[in-house]
Amino acid sequence: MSRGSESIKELRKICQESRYEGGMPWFERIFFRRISIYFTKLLLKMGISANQATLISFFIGIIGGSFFVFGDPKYWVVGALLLYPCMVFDRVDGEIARYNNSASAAGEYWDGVCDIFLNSYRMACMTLGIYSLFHELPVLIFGYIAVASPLFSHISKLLAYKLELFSESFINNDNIKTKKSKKQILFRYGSLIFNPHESIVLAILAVAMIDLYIPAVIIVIPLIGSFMINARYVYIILYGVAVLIVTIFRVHNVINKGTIPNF
Amino acid sequence: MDESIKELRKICQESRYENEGGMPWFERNFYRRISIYFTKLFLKIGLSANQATLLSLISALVGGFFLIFANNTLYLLISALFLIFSLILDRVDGEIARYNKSDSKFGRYFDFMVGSSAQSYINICMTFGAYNALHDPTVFAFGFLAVIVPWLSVVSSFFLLYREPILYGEKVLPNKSEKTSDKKVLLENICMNPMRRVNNFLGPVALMYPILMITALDVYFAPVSLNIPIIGLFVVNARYAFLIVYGVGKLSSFILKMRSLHKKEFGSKHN
Repeated sequence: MSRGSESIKELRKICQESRYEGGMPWFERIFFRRISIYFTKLLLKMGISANQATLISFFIGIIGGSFFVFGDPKYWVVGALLLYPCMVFDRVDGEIARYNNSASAAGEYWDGVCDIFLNSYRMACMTLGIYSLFHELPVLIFGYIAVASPLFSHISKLLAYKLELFSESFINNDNIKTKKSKKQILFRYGSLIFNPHESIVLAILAVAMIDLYIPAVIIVIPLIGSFMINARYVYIILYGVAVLIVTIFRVHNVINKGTIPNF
Repeated sequence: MDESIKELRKICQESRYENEGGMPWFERNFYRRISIYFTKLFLKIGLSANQATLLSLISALVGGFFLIFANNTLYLLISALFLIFSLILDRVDGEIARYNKSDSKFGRYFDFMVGSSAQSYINICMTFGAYNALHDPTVFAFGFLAVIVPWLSVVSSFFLLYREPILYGEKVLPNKSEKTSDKKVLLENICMNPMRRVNNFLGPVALMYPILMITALDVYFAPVSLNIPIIGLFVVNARYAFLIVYGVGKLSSFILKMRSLHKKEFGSKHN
């Protein structure tokens, strides 16, 4: 039997369902996995390996990210639309690896590094784009927060792993079966808005659409001064500050309680 | 807390470098010679190691803030004072921990987080300084590169060594004691070592010195305008040039490092 000659249903079983033992999250299923399987089939027939799929995803991400450098929201819509295939191909490489039984630590590692780099690259390009509209220094300050705080967040997690500052329940992470606390559910929804790996396409698209139709607003804050604000600027501010607060909360938790919280 | 400075040095400093074959020259003359007096002071006041780390962070934040201004000798001196003070305090916390025998993983965690975030904060402040001198937003493109790449380098090396084993439920630490007499490895060491030295000079330990020196250059030398064919006219000062060299150099050394790590950890096979 040649590669990729299975039907879509069989491919789904081989490539997707083995990945999620406790059921696929609805967001993942509807927005990514439903489409990614067709690309997987195509690439399998073409004989493209998992690492090559990662590379394709990386280049689409670089090209899509570059569109955010421009201030015009139309370019942002194009960039956000290009982000979508980038994320789909990010799923495709895992599916190909699972099909070929070639899943390796190396592949997962490069996948992760590319993801982290692309996220910071996008944020940097977005900041420059918004700056080209307003020419205000606060944009760059919030932009730097949005670029650096996800990296800061990764380091705070990984360093805690390195120093073995984690509880037993964190390693045997079976919160799929156990009932989630209210706090965890809150963070789940919070991460749907701010998590770069799942919903950033929708968030950027929404924000760019708002800016297409609604012009920038001038906000006057007493004592500090007046600022021009549009939806994209608000998104950058919210993203950076939210990730920073979560990270500071995590570092505080690690130092005072000795464990990494489950987020 | 009645020990003399000499005894304190033995307790707090020499035990740190026992396994490393003595204190490095730079370390001894620039930090440890002064830091012991602060250690004595802090021990008398009763400050803990974590509080010393926090003081070092605050001092770095203040010192970085004074780098934002375009070309000003007074502000530069103030920022140099605070930044060097924060580097010294960074040694003091370890010495206090060694004296109190309160050395803990949490202290190290906090120390590393503070150190790495202060470095990129100072880098960002210098970018704003370069912008205030030149008023050219392309400074920020290289500024972003100079912030992203060093952090990504740290993240990816942690990612490689520690993330996967825990995800898979068992902990496999990398074996450092493995010795190979392979010719390729030898060649790689010869090629990579100078790179590593440059990296150590520009890297997280002593980034503040080049930044201060280059900001000082800007005070005395006017920016140069370069006419690059096709691209256009660039006005470059020392800080802008440093950002470009630092960002691009870090990126290339990151790629080289990743390649050698990849070979070491995963072998040369590709799937």
